[in-house]
Amino acid sequence: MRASRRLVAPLLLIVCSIALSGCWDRVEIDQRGFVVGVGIDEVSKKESASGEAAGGSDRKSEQAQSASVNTQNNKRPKYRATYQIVTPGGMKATTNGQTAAAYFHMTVEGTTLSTMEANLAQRMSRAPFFEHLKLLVISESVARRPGELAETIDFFLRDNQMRRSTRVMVTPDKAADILDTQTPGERLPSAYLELVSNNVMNSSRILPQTRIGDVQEYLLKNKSFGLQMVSNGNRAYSTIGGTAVFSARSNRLVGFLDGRETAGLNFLRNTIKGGHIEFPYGDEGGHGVFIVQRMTRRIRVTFDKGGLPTFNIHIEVQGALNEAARIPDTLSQDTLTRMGQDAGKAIQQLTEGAIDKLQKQYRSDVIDLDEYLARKHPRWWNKHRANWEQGDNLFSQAPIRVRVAAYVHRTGNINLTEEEK
Amino acid sequence: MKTAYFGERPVTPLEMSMTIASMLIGVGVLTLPRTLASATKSFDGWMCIVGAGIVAMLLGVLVSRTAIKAGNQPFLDYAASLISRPLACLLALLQLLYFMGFSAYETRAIANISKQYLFDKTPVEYIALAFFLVIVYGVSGSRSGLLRLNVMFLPAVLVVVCIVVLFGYRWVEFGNLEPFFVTGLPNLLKGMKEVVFSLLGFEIILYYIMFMGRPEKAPKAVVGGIAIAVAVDLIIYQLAIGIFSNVGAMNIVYPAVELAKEIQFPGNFFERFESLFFVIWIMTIYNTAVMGFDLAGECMAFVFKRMPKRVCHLILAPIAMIVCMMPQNLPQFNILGDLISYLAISAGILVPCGLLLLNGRKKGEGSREGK
Repeated sequence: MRASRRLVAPLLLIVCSIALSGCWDRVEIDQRGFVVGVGIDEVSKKESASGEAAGGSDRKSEQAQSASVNTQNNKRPKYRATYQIVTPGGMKATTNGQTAAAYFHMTVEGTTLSTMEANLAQRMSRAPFFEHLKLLVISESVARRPGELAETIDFFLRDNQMRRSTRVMVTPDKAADILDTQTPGERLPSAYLELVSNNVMNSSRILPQTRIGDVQEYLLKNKSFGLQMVSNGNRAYSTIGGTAVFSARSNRLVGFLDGRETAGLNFLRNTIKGGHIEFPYGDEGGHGVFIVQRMTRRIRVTFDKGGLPTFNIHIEVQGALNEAARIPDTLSQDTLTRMGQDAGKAIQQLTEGAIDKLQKQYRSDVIDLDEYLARKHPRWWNKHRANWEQGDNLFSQAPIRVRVAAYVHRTGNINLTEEEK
Repeated sequence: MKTAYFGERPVTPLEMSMTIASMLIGVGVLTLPRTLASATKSFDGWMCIVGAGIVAMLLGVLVSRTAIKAGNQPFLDYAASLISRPLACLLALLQLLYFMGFSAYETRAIANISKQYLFDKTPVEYIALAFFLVIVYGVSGSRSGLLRLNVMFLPAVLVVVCIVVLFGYRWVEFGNLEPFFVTGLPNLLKGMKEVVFSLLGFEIILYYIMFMGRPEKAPKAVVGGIAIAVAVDLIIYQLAIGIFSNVGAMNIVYPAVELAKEIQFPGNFFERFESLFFVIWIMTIYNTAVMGFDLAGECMAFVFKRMPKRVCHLILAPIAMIVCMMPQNLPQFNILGDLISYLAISAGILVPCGLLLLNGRKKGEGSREGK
């Protein structure tokens, strides 16, 4: 009995040590290549024919030659993905004030993103690690092809490293250029873009952040939706503003809304968090800027005999005056009321611009009126859902009336800047 | 009265409630939002949860009444006194199958999930094995120790649920919950079946009632435990639908884990909350599985009177591992889950309720056996 017990302990120790040393998933943190941003471009025919990688931006991006990448299946590569990878040494400032670059780019071409990740691993000393992926930029040319968006984001949803909170943006420019933006003071372009996309408090022209999980839900619901648009990527800055409109009908990107229309869309969708509205005042060319502080939206629907809904959207905006030119006595009740009316009119124009473009040109319900109908009038919706955007496109026929009431509550520190004439 | 008094304080009704709740909160709730969203439209699954909760409570009361009738003798001995020993052995074998399958199922589930989210390269067999070895270790100790473990772990689970709720509400769109009451009755019943399956496990009261100081409070304790589990189910379901919407939840394999992944603490200080969520959730799943395995051993010990319980467990462990590794993919795994649930309903609930009836009749005939 005793002897056996003496034997058991060392045996256990040996077994334990064997079991403990075999950790399959051990990857040291300095062996991980943190991918923080991915830009997906189309491989243009010219380039792939000549087997040349994109020139131009050669500063930090190690443009990889792509001819041999897709040898496995002799298909023409479909995407060119630019991976933004953190260089750990670059994240901290060195003593002599000079800083190494905090990131570098790798470009891979291929037909599926998952094999492209494998290709990436062939080139990097540290295996790519996506857990901290912040941003996915998709270029317009990719998004315009039917069904392509779902194809590109599948990997970023399915792989177990991925988070549903990764931001998705669309750019009319090259996604690689957008990722190359390096503003002074920001070390990582992806982090920079993520921060900019949060600035909805200061601009009405930024759509609320679009996360990859939301995109999946939209695609599953088979509804049209808008994504944040990022444009004019250059070394100094990129601009986030505008909306990329995806249509459920053609299952692809159909076009963009500009900043003003996006502001209108934000008002219609009740996603305004702040922003500045310029409005004209009076006959003498006066104008002012109205800051949005709070808004409420009410939707009423009436159905006519043919079953077509009419939307009455009532928007109430509370805000303050932030800039004024040639506006008399901003402290008087009359002026306040009139400014409110004028600002309301300006907002109404914004919304009408958005409605007009969405109904006439894109015929895509990005305003989420379909969701409203499905929630409040499920019976009607079940009967007509096939004809809302598809089929008869009831959406483009439904009258949408917008009424805006704006109230100026504060006028700032001063009354007038110059004497009234 | 108290035979199983290990020189320790007997279990209070509250502690028994916590035990039941720990048993019920397992892997079911991790996938529940998906199965419910697939069965029902928009947010109507809440009716399934509430309805299933009521059904489970009723059954729980019945089962615990049977347990009270057994009084101070172990349940299987009591059953033997009612339906003769060979039949009781059959019942014990059925329950043995159920409890063993149950812990194997839970083990496989947590191994699958850990593989998906934590250990990408580690073979799923080894994850399951490591987990199962801890279970075997757990059942080798004193049984009241297991019950104490529930009391210790459950508050942590509830705290984690609270954190998920507090920080998850930022992403909830209440519009996703509308419209209400649009699902037809057949689909509601289908959803209810799923929830009832995830609420099975309260049958353990049959065995653990011996530890209670006042067994007559058992029905209350069971109802309380089920209520805790139902509340957790409701909260997680509601959050999942609010954040992912109905179709979204339908297409996410483990919605509750994704919920934990969604959470970001202000300031990005603590980015990977899901790892903490896992640790806590593995604890409660451990509780579930270890109690299942403990009772499997108990049933076997009843059949083979001479065998010490520890030997029973050692014999059962490899079998459970084989059962655990049998399903090759998710659909097969779901079939295993359904099989075990049916076994639970038949062996764990219907038979004890039948015994209750039988006992009532015997008493009517004048024999005062149950008292």
